[in-house]
Amino acid sequence: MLVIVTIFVAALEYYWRGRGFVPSYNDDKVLWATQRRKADNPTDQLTAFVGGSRIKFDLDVATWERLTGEKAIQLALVGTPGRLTLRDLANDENFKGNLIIDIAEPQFFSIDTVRRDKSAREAIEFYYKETLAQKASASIDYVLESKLVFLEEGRFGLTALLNTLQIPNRPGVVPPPPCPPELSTTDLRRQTSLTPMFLADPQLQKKQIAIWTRIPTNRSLLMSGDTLAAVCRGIKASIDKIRSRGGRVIFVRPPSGGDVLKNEKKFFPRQQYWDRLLEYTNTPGIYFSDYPAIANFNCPEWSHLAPADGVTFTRNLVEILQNEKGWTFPNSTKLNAKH
Amino acid sequence: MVFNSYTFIAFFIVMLILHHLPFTWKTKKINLLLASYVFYAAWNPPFILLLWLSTVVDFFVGRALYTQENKYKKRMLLVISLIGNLGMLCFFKYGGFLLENFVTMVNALGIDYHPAKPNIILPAGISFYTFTTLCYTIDMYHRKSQPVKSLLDFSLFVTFFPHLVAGPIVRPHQLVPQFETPRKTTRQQLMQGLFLLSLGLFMKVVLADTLLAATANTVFGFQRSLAGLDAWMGVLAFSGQIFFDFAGYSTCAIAVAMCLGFALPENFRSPYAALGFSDFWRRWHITLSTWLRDYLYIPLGGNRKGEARTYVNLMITMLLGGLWHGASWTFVVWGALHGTYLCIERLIKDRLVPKQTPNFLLLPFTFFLVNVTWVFFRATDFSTAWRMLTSIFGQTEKGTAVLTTIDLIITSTVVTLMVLIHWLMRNTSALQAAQKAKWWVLAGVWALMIIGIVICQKSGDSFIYFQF
Repeated sequence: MLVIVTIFVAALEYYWRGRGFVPSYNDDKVLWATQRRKADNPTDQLTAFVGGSRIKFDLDVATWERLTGEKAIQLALVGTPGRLTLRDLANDENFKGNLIIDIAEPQFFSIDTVRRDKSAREAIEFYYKETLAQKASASIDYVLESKLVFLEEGRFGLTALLNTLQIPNRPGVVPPPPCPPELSTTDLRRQTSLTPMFLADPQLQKKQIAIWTRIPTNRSLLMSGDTLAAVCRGIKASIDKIRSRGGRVIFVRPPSGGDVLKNEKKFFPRQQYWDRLLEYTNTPGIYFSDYPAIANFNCPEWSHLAPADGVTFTRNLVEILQNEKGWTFPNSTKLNAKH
Repeated sequence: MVFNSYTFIAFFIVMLILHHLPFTWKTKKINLLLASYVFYAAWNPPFILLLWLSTVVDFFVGRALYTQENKYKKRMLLVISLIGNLGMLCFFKYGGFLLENFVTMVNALGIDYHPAKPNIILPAGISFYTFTTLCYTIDMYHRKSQPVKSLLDFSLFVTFFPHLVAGPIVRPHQLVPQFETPRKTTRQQLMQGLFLLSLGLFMKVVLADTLLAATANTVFGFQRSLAGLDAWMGVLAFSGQIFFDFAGYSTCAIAVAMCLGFALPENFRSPYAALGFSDFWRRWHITLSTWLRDYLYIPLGGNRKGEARTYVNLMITMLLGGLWHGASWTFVVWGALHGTYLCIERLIKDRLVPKQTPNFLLLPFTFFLVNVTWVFFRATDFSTAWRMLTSIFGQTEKGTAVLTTIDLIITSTVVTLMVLIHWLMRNTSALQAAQKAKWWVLAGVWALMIIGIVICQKSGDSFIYFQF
């Protein structure tokens, strides 16, 4: 029995590595909770990022920390608007840091909160209920995931593999299409990056573009009018709490491209959504196309930046924050030396 | 700590090594007791105080109950034990529920009363260890067995980590004698234990969490009317999930105890092969149903006080059994439905067809009705339960289809195989079947189960019965 299991596991690992995959971490509620704990450190020299996938790909945490001399924690969750995380941090008296809120209009301005907030709700609940045993298990898990490719459940687990089967569904059943496993990797700090395999393969990029553009926009689930105002009031209340503790908050709209950007502009006109959000919440924002330094990136699959561009985006974003938004980073030797 | 976690694997390896080192029997028991406290404290350390309190009070009260000759004092001691145990259970498990119902009642009477919601955390396993200690003091009251001689043995009986948080619910005579005399694990016990541990983890990790949970969650979490097929598949998925989750835990508990040289009672015996509801309750959560029979149904009079009282006793037992599972009226309805089924079955057997042999057509009929009751068990409120019932009985127009084809295939395959295997193993156990199998078949099945666990990788998800 042990021989069969050992041979199978070795063959499985060999197979995935042979296809070019390298060890990566499960980007799940456990990893999120591990990062979330760091926000409980009552320091003002810390910035948290909340929102959806774009800030996870585009913002390079290591570059941010190197440039600002401050700690950064990645709390964005793929496919979520980030509003629940914002509220959670606002209600946490221990959090005294700054906040960057990623805006991807289809997620942020959707009223389909049951589906959109599901992973955020689960992650936050897990964080508050996490037991000592679960924390210990996570530590062992991280060591194993750093060594073995097949342990990344999100890409190579049985559920992920079953979801890749192309079996037609009944009319009206439209599950989110599975992304190719070559798309991204995630590190221990929840930094997500497009893989070299993906960047080198135009076919994979086309496949991913088709996935993004096939996701339908349901007009009945978009915020407008009173709903938008009410949501913005809730966001403002959360932001005010963070500000009352000395934290700074800013909205960032990272780049997108192609038909993805075209659709976002079509369904979410800037004046009706972005401008109102800033106005209602009395909060500054950085919209990528307003700043030449971050306006002209190429998104390989029209939604996220390549890792090298993420580093540049982060560097330029920090400069914009410091030069145009009045953010200061007292510990930053590099920036202070430059300016 | 849960069995399906890396922490438990590390903990268990250390325990196996410690338990097989040449220590004295007393040292080994102390090791087991300390390990059990570590196992429990890994959830929420302060709640260990409750466990200590329950252990110490019941040890001394139990001893006093056994030796006390004065009937009045004896009853007082029993009342102290019942208030201590059930009071704790009521406060932690039913405090919020009682307050909520009280508020609803006084508001209905026109009194404007809105207290703050109590923030009470439910200590893990409190329902299980309360029943374990209760049966000891009740046995002592009736002098059914001798009091446990040492506090160490009694503490270990209450706290022994394999059964502590989700059963099987053990009786003193089942476990205490095993602590009183030195035991050594045989090689066969160890191998059988490891096989059962793999089986239990396979049931939990692969079948319950990976293949069925998502379908059940999608269906029961959907806020609008469902298509009939989707509603049925959601109910069937939950039917499988709850079995594999709970039977998986029990199998792991029995397995872990076996690896350490101890025997715990069987908790499930192919329940979906039941022919009728009394048969179902002889097969599902056996240690709870026998506990309720011995410490509730029989003391209420059982079937000894006439026909009408028998039905009343059955209903009371099942209603309280339902409430034991959770502080919600949906669990009470679940218990009431099972009580009703049992009453009707008894009525038919007593009056209408008294000597009929079991009809195998009863299997699908029992399975169907058990599934209907699961709707109330799984639904978080009555509106969800009603939405599900109207969907599964086709009373909704244009219900929404939410499950993918792969979900439908997985659920129907797993549930069909589950019922088939229950039928084939109706009168046997997993260990007996394993012993009869050829070595290469056993090795292959065992390897497949471990491979399944490895590729599913869902570690650390809690067992459903932990919330009870």
